[in-house]
Amino acid sequence: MSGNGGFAALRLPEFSYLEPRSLQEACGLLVDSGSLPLSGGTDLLVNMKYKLLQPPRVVDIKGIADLALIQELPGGGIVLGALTTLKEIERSALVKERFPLLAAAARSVGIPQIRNKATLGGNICLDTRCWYYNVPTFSRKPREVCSKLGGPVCHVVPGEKQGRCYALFSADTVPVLMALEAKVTIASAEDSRVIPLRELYSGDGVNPLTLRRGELVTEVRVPPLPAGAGGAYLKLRERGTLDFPILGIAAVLTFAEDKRTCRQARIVLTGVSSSPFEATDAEAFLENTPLTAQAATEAARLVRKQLRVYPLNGISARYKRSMIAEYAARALLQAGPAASQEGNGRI
Amino acid sequence: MKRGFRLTVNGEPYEVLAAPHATLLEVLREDLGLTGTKEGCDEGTCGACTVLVDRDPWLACLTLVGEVQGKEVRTVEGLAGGRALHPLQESFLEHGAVQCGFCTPGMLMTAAALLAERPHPSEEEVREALEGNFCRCTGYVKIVDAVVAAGGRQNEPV
Repeated sequence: MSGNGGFAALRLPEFSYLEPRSLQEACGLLVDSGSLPLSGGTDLLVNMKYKLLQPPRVVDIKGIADLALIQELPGGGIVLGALTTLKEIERSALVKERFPLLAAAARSVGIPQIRNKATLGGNICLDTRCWYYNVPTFSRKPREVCSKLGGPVCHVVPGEKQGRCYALFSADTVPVLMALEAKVTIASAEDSRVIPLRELYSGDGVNPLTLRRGELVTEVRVPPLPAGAGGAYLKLRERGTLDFPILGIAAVLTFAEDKRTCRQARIVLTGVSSSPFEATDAEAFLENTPLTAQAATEAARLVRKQLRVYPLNGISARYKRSMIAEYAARALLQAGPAASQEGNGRI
Repeated sequence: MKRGFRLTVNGEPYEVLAAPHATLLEVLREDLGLTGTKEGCDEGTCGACTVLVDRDPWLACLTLVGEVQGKEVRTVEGLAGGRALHPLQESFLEHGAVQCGFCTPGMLMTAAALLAERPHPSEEEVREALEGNFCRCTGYVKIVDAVVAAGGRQNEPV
């Protein structure tokens, strides 16, 4: 019979399944340290099958009303509910019109069957990953326990003795949302707060989120872009589908009246560190600079220079550094004035 | 501890007694005897367990039984109308789009959802829709041809 363990190695561990009907009820249940929220579950259930997580209680938050929506905000921004599926974002006419790079980022996640179920909130709160951690517990060779599993060491970065965790943040929608200066609403049973999306991330590979126990991300607010702004999201992965990014880079540029001089640049990467990475040196360089091919190349060099890259997940540091520079230059040019004349956010 | 879950599968209502940590895949195959849906990787990478949940392809291996309460589940057993095969099934037969057959139910369900939404998809649209269904026997050519050809027929919506 189902759920009895049986042979199969990838059966889920036991848990009780809770179905709150309101946000307040859900947050109340999540105060308990033995509870984990289930949204689309396409990442969580894999980690549970691998026995990386074995929560006694799983709180299915999909019964909460009004969190699956995409709405226009006054002034041209949009609000996206945390339970909106990636498929809904990928296909939304409003998202495609206002922020096509967000639709492209959603489209680049996993496979259609995953995007039909996975939610924006889940992608934003995606756990960090590395080749040592993200395998079934039972298939690992006995070694000293790694820091993400509660031990003292890291097995993936040679020479790492302090037990720092280098697991990579890999969500595709987040660099785009951060480059668009999105804010998130975080609710608890008592109240809610709004923070810039970047403040959701701790930089710690073990516990990548700053969420407190009993809190849930409920919505994402994306402010409007000024006229003539351009954006792009580019993703490098091993296959043309399914894979998490080796790297993903979002660039959002706004221009002065000459349509050529960059007024502000936002460049955010995923897959390169334990939190989304803001390429602030390149951003500062591009400010008030005409976006020529030469300027894009120099900015791309600064992106690469600001990042400490480790060989991880089968990708050498040398290859990754080259690709970071290459993808940064391409993303900047795609977000540039030639593209922006035909409407912002060309991919 | 097991508890009751009410499901609708291929239009039939069921009440199953299952552990909350049972996946939809386990319940379909082991409790309802609907073994057409296949267990491939069991970790969300191969697409062999694809079923339709309210017309969308979902991975049954990454779906808890509790998550489909109140939703319409459709498996490959529910694709044919009585004795008449679905046009996709006819087309798979005609094109020889089956080798070992293990990926076929998932391919059919994903393709059925595509045709319900876009009755005459282009080859590119078919390839995109099937990007999450792995076949390790064929070069995908016959499968894609079969779906495109099925789109040329008049389809019953699934």
